[in-house]
Amino acid sequence: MRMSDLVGALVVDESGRPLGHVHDLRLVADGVTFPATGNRAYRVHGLVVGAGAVGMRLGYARGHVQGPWLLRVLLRRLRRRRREIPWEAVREVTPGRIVARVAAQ
Amino acid sequence: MTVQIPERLDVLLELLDRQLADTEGRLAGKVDDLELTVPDDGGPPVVTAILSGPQALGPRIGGRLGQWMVAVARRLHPDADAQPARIDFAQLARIGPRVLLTAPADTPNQRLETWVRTHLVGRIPGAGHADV
Repeated sequence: MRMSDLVGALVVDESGRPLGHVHDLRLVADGVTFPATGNRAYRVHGLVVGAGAVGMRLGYARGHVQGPWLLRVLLRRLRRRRREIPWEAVREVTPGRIVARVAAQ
Repeated sequence: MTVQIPERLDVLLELLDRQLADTEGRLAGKVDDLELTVPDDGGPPVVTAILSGPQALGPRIGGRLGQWMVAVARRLHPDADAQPARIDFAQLARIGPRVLLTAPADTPNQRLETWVRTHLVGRIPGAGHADV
């Protein structure tokens, strides 16, 4: 499987309700340790999902951006449109579509 | 030994499309895609390799442009079924503005550079006297 098989896919809950598209993969370095470098392998921790937004791709949805009040308001809205689906919630991956078990919001 | 990769990472923001460089400082393509392997126990996918080259970038872009990119790469490559350059993730030393590898890379970029140096630049009169 490639990363690009997941990015862009539509995520739906088990009833088929769309939750948004995958905008990014969140990795956590908690796998095996590579002896040559001491780095640990990355594992997929979750899918960053939400409605499409240029600001999300530019990194403005991550929460530590400062700026004038207008920018902060816009970024707060952007953050609300984004959610992380933990990998443990993923039930099925098919081309272009991912089914996840999520709690109702 | 110092760990030089972030503990948490958003792939598109912090890794994808970054320049790869090997131990010699030579450019070795870009991070065009990642190979994910689902372990036998069914746990989260593990990043096992960086994929680089048009055979990785084309399918990621998709559409006509992506198809065209793969078709051109296939036409230029001696092996009609060429796969993207695969760099084992264990070779990744550091993630920063550049992604540094722990070993000399042998990616299509470097093979092209060698071919150009041998067959084109090397045949220009006086090329043999140039400082490299």
